[in-house]
Amino acid sequence: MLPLALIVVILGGIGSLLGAFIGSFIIGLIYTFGTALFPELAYIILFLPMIFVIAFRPQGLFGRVGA
Amino acid sequence: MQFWIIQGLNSLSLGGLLFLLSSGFSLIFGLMRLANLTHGAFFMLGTYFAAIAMRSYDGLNIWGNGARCRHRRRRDRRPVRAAGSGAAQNQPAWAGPRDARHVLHHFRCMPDAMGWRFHSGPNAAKPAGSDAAVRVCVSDLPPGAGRMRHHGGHRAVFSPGANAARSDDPRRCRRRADGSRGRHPRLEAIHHGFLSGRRNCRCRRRAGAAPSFQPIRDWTPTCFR
Repeated sequence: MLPLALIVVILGGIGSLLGAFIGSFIIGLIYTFGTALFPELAYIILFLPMIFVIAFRPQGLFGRVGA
Repeated sequence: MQFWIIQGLNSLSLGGLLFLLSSGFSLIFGLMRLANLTHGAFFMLGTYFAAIAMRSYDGLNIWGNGARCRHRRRRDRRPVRAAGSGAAQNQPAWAGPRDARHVLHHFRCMPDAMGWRFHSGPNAAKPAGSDAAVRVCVSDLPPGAGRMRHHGGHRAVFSPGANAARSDDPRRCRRRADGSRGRHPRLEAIHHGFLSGRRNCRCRRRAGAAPSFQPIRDWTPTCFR
């Protein structure tokens, strides 16, 4: 649960409640459907959005630039 | 189609759980600049406390002693009969004291459990000579306990003091001090306000039993004892 919470926080933006809200449902969708549809790639497609967010938008989806 | 609906609901519940977790994590991470790695451990600790509260007596009885006393229906107060006897076959399964419906009763009984008294009158008065009146449930007593006055059918007032042992106590002795014949001890008790006149009040007090304080139930969870 703690790595999932860490992924959610990184995805939504640090210190952002709206980001945590959106990110938690995104991660929940991705984790559930990834486990059901592609059981071999479940963890990869769970961590892929985090990798993309870190690569292209390091402050997170709803984070401030300075944060 | 069923697959998508079920997995969608699963993902919604997982997302809600993740939001509960990650909002606190994000708050601490954003404010204190500290990745609290014990966040999951605190989550686990909360689940343990919730499990203790659920297991405490007959489910979610976190308010203590009198919680299942006052508003129970009369047929719920029947003693559980031994399994296998002839009458027990016809008893419904919920006739026992450990009933899931009592969880709902706890919410109605919460002031009673916290020892609040909303009424004044003879039943609310402490017995003379005792310094503390502790309210207990007769239904919580061990089967042989007959050491108390009680009123209201299933609520009781303990008196740890020595006042109840006097032989001229009208609740103890049918013959009064002047030699005249007294009424029945229960009627005397009702007259003196120690017993309410409810129909289904069974007085468990025996004449020879010495009054003594006896802790009814240890509510400490087993892991803390």
